[in-house]
Amino acid sequence: MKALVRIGGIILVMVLVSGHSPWGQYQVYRQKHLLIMSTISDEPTYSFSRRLVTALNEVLPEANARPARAKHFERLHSLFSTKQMQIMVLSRSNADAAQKGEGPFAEFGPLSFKIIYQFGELQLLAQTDFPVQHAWMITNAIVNSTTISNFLDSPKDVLQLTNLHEGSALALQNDPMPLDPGEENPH
Amino acid sequence: MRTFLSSILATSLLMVGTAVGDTTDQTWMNKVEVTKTGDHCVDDRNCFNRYHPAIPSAASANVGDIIVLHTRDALDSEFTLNSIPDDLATVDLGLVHPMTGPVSINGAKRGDAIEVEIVDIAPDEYGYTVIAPGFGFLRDIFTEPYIVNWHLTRIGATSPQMPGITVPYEAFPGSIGVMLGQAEIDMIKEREADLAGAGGVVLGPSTGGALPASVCGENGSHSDDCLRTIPPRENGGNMDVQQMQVGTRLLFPCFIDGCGIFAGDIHYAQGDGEVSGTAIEMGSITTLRVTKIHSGKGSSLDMPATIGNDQIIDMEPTRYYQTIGIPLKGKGEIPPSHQYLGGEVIANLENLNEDLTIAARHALIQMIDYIVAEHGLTKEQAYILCSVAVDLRVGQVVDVPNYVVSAVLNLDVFDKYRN
Repeated sequence: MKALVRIGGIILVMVLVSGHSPWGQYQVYRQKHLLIMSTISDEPTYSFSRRLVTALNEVLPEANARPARAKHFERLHSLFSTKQMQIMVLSRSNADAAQKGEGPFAEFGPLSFKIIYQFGELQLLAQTDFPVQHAWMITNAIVNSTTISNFLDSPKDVLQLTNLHEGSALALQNDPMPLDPGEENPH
Repeated sequence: MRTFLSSILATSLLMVGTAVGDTTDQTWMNKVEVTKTGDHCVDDRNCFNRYHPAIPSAASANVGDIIVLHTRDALDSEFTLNSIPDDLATVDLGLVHPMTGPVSINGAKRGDAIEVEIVDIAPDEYGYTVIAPGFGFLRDIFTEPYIVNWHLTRIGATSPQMPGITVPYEAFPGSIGVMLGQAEIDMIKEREADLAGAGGVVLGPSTGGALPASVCGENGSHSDDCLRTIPPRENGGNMDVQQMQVGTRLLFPCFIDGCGIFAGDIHYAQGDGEVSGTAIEMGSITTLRVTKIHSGKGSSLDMPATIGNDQIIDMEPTRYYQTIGIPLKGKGEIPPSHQYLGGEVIANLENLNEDLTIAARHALIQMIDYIVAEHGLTKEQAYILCSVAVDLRVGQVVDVPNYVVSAVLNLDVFDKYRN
C-alpha cells in the first residue's frame, strides 16, 4: 500500500511538471487529473475512456483520472500536437491514420505517439516523451484492474506491438518500475 | 358610374398598397460588414486572438458608417446544446479570445480618441456558461468542470439544467477595444514580466493557437510580441463591464493610425464580477458606429470610458436579495488571489485590512449558500447563477478595516416571482 501511495504521488508530481497549457490558471485542473482524451468522431472512444477512467481510479486513485471528450479529430489533433493533452484513446484504424497523417488526419498532419495498451480495436496512446515511469504505472494499473479485464488484449500480444512505450514494455515483462537517476530502490 | 367607382377603388388600393408596402428596399446605412468564414478563427481571415499592430485590418470604415461584426464565442469552442462537463477539458486555451476585426477608421490617428456607439447585438440561439477548473473567483472551492447550455432569445435565456430560471437579455461585448501600438506593447510586456516575477498570474506571449499565424504563430513575424487577450488593458479588450449595453457610447484612445477597432466574446448576460469565469457566452452579430474622432484627445484617456443614458436603470432589478461581505476569512486560509503575496502575514488572520477581494469573496459565498438553501439549486448551479445574474458592488471603502462589498441577486430571474 505504501508503494502504491508513493507511485500515485510520483504520477501527480510528474503530471504537474509536464503541464503545457498556456493558460496558467487552467493548469491547476490539468495538473490535478490524468486526462484521457477521446473524440465524438471516433464513437467508441468516449464510452471506453469512461470505463478506463474507472479502472485507473480503482487501482491508482491518486492519478485522479478523468475523461476529456473532444468534438472532432481536428480538436483532438490540435490538443495532442501542442502537448496540451498527454494521453488519448483512438480506434486502431484511426491511430494508424493519425500516425501517417492520412484519412481524417490528412488535413492536419501526422501525430507522433507511443502505445500504452491495446484493447481489441482500441488503443491507449501517449506522447512520445511521456515519462517511462508514468507508462509503467498506467500499464500496471490496467493489467491489475478487475473492471476492464474483459477488454484487454493479452500482455503477450501487446508486447509484440512495434510502437509500444518503453515503460509499458517494462511493466508487461514484470520488470520493476524504473527509478529517477539518483533514486534508491526502496526494496 | 360603376366603371368610375371601380377606378377609384383600384387607385385607392394602389395607394394603400404603396403606403404599407415592403420597407426593405429603403436604406440609408452605409454598412461595413465583417463576416465569418469557416467554423473557427483559424479558418477566418477576419479573426484574430492576439494583439499586435502588424495584424492587418479586416476592413476600413468612415465615421458614421454602420460596422457589422459577426463574432465568435469567447473560447472559439466546440460546445453544443448537448455539451457535457467532460467536453470542457478539451477546450484549446491557445484559441482564447477570437476577435472580429480590426476595422481601421479613416481619419483616426495615433493620439486621437474615437467615440464608438453600440448600436445592436443580435444573439446566436445557443450560449453556454461554464465552471472552468482552476479559473474563476472561487477556483479553490469549485474545482470540477461544469457546463450549462442555454437556449437564447431576446426575451430571456433558459436551460433545462437551470429549471425555473430565466435570465433577462442584457447583452454587451465582453471584449471590445482598439489595437495597441508597439510602444504600448513594449511597456506592457515589461510591467507584466515584473508582475510574473513577483508571482502574479500573467500570461506572456504564447504561440500555440495564436492567430493570425503569419504574425503571431510560431514562425510569425512578431511571435514574441503578440499579447494575450485575457487581461483588459489601456486599449480596452476583455473588460467584461456589463454596463456597456446597446445605446451606450465608448471612448477609446488610439494607439495606431486607424485605431483598429474590434469586438468579440459577446455576453448575453453577466453579473458584475462574472464570478465563475464565464458569462452566458455566445456568438453574435454586433453592430457598432464610430460617431466621432476627438483629435489629439487620446492622451487624456488613461483607459476607455463609457457614456450612457438610462441603460443602467433598465438593468436594475425590481426585487432583489443582497448579502454583505467584509474582509473575513478562515484561520489558516490563503485564498488563491493572495497566494502570490506569501502566506506568513495573512495566513492566521481571520480579518484582513481594507481588502475588497476578500470582502467580495465573503459576500459571494453567503449568496451561494442563500441560493442553495432558499431556492433549491445545487452549489454549482448557484455559482453559475451568480456568474450571470449577481452583481458584486462596492459598499464603502472608508470604514477601516472592514470595507464592504455586497452581492445583489435579481430575484426576477426566478420564474416563480415573475410569472
